[in-house]
Amino acid sequence: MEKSSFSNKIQEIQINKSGQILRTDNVLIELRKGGNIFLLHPFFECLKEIVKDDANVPKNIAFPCILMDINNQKFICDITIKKERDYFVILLFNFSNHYELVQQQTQEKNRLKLKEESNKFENRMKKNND
Amino acid sequence: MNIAKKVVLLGHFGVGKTSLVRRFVDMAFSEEYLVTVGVHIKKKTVTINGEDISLIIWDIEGKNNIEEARKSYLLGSHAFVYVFDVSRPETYENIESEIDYIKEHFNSIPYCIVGNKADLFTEDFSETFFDKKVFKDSYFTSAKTGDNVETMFTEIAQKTLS
Repeated sequence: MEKSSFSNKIQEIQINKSGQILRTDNVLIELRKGGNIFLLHPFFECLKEIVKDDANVPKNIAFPCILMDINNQKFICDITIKKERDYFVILLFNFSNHYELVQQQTQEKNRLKLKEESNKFENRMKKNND
Repeated sequence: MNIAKKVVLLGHFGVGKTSLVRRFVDMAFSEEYLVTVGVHIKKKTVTINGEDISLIIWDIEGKNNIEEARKSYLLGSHAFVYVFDVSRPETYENIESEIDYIKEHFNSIPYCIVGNKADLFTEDFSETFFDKKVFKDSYFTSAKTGDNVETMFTEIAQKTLS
């Protein structure tokens, strides 16, 4: 059956506490079962610290808008980590198109604000010099 | 043994957080402002007393205050770098309350304050302008020239070990 456009944007990965990949559907990133996810990207390396203390890990942790650059592919993903009894589920949601649009809008808004503040600074400097 | 430490950069938009990371990790700088949406994560290894430390640097999007930052981004942090722009009072006028927030919610985690764009200092406007107690021990950096960038990251790495 053909996957829906939404399911083409989600990858599910299951790992154990040591970062070993137990299952992956490889929708976005090609991963090897048995490989270690902590070595894939610094984002996942940081999970090491979080999952090791599993007694205190919240049941669900959401990391929105993470820029991933893996195997020369760039994604902007929302990442959810779910704690199950003996393993962790990592869900990668590829929202690159949405976030690229947000970036363009924010870029323009911030650029104008920076210009305004930079003018203020220059005027202050001029005043001080006069 | 290689130890990994998560360092999160905080501060308003446009203060140069991404530029500091680019200067430190890629030894590059661009005048062009490119907004950070969400988080960019980069890694660089530094050697402290013969020990390799992998700094995993979380460059998070600029916010007017730390409370607005996603809590999950701060999870598992080993150090914070609070960056302001020396030329924009808007970026440091609430710095005391921002630092109080860090001390209150992450009291065992080391942090440092960084006044970036120090290349804009002149004879009449210099580090001495920042004479409030909160700025004591701040770093004044320039991602543009590279001044003090390496020192700041190396010293914060050192703090994560103590």
